[in-house]
Amino acid sequence: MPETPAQKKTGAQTILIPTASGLYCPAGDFYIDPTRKVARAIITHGHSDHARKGHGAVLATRATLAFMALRYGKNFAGTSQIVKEGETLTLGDAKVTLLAAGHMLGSVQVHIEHQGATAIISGDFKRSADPTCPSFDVRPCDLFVAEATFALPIYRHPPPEGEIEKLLLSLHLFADRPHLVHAYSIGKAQRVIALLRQAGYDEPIHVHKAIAEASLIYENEGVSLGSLETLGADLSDPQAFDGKIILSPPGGVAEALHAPVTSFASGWMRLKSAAKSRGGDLPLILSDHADWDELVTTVKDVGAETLWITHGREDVLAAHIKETLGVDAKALSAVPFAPEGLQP
Amino acid sequence: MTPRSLAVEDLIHQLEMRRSTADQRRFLAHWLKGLPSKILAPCLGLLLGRPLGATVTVPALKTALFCRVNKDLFDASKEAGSDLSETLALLWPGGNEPLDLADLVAAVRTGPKDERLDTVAALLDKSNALARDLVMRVSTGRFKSPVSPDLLRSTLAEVFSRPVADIEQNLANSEETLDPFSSWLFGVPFPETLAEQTGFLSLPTIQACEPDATGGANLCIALPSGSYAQLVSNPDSCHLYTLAGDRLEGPENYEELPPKTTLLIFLPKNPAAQPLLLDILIKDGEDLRNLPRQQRLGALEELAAAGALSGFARTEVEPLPAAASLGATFDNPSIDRLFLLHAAGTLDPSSDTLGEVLRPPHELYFKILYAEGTLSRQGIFAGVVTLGAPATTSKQGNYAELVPVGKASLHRLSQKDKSTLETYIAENTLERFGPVRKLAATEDTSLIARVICRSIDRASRRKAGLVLKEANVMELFDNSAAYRVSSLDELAPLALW
Repeated sequence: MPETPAQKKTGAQTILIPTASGLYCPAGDFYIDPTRKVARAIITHGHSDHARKGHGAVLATRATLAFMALRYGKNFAGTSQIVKEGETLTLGDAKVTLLAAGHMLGSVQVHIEHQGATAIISGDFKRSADPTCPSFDVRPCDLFVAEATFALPIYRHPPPEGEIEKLLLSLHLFADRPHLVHAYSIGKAQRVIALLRQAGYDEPIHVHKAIAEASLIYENEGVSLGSLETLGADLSDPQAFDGKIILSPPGGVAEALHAPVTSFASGWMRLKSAAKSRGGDLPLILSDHADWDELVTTVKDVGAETLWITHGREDVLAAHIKETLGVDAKALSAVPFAPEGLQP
Repeated sequence: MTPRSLAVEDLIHQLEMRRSTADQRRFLAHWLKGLPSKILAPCLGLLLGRPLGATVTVPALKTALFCRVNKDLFDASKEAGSDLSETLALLWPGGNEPLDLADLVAAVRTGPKDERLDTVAALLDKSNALARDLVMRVSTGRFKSPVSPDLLRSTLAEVFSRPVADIEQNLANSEETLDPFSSWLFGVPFPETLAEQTGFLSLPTIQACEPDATGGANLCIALPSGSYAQLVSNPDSCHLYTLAGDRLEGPENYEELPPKTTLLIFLPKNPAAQPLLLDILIKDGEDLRNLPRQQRLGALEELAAAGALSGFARTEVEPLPAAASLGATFDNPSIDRLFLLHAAGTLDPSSDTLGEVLRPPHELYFKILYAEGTLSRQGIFAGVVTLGAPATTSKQGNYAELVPVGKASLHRLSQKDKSTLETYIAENTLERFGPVRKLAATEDTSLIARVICRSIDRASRRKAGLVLKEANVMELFDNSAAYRVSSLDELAPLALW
């Protein structure tokens, strides 16, 4: 068992090894969010860049498995196993606990303990409150693998309530036009709906079929989204949606509506250049990823000796964390792949 | 849910994001209605492009930023694609407060020069991100107003119910500072005491409020015969308010009213009220909207001649009994006496009783010269077309001389017509310039558009000498309708001087 911080650090770094298929835990013989088909995988959440089909056995939360089944069909994996948030499992020599990540319904961090050292793979996460999922669960660890989609200090997300207020103001001023909000069909769309409900908007919201199907999973998990109406054949009367809110994945629908006020809900809308090119009339800065401040705060909070960063501007965050917190931070891509003998 | 009033930085952001002038007008009107008089002057100065003067330099602000943020973070962020002011603003570790424009003006104008950087920095420290962006741009002289002076003047005229000419004159007289203009604008007891000065009446018989041909919403008011007429307010004498519960909101431009709104018309006792009936849309259940305008006016005349509108044919309106409070019952059986029937047959602005009226939209035909829109793998989804008219009245004229007269939106087109246009683009594109397609528009091949536009303005810098304003394509026809296309000779008399 490791006694000193240096031993713990070394121990933690052996819990996980990067491979061509993604992060691999040799002690438990499983991958986390693998990019290729593997025998055993833990999936952090249901978005397609993390949850892929074709694995032998998949372990995830009930909601994540439901999203995978929705996207890929029932046979998305050989076998699947539901794990509750906070529940600890023993996989091989490793103890694995899934902790809330706050990214979307069913999203988790993977906490791995092996021979006294601990590692956490954050998956996608955010710290701000989200009415559709539990908040990020802060646990100390020795190695923290963090996503860093918005790892630049220009990305500081404003309070989501203010963005929803913008949408409602536009709805008030342009009550004779439909308001088409583009949002990813799983996660973001439901968050927008829940935020609208929180703000007191109780009119039916028209949603694209893909959003309606995902919203059913939210309802089954106890997240109430109010009255939703699925877009269908009624699109033949484009003026029927004047004064209504319509949620749709990016693309389509707008062509069929009468002079819609278009909007895109995304953290990338922070920059005016992105907002002007993609945000339509009403860009909404709404992100399900941690912003710069949340990333730095989280690294402080978990107190890890080692930080591996993936996605986004890893170099910028790594340099900043090294300089300000003295943490051994590096891009995950800079961590050497496992030696031959350790490769599964 | 009553939306909050817009902070100035929110307004600027919205104006910059909205491409349509009509959209910008609505935001401006909403913002002006919630604007305290004390900050009207600096806000208007900002929007009118009257610079406060560059107070601090960008290098000085960068130096101040590097005292707060690592320079490497600035360099990495600048690479991400945001412009310099925005990068500085987003990186600056500020607060969450909205911008107090009076603070900014004080910082820029009144403080000692050597303290201005500190004052601006203090302002940045407490402001939210959008406010910081505005402060950066204003204090470095990089701010450019997102609205035209014309739009601002006309919106001020609408919101404060003042003639545009008065607005222009008072603005011209306030070149040094806009404080006198602000005082003049707010000098009248408006809108708080308006209710005391006027009688008022609700129009519970409003049956529909439909988008009109130009995208605005017209009020369709039930006439005694069960017909509907189009109401246009005279901004000099008539204020339109909406009623939400027992609370009044407004004044509103009639075009901004949301559907199914209960409308109040405030009628000044002196001079007498002059709402005008300009058109008839539905008569005894028959939809007249597809008829030529002259025929519709004829129908209105017939109604008047038959005595159905006798109560309207008055040049003065009797003062209405003032209500005890705003929450009183607004129903009044004497509704028909409010209207002045002038539109039956004549719209002559020189008429001594009509005064200045909002001109009705023009309905015209043009050939489509260019289509512009969004590119996709399948081709182009056109959103805007450029219209062309021949220079002369000769219908056998040389179509190589088609002159562009303006752009028109396609959002009122039916799906069928949109498909027709897409097919035409696919088969008749002559040249491509990115998302723009030059289309065949010859004597034998062309696509004809029926267009509704709010006005035709003179434009000396354009080849046509005029330009269509707020134009929408309503319908498409094949080349057989080419005889309907108006020439520049025919359009010239319609242009506003």
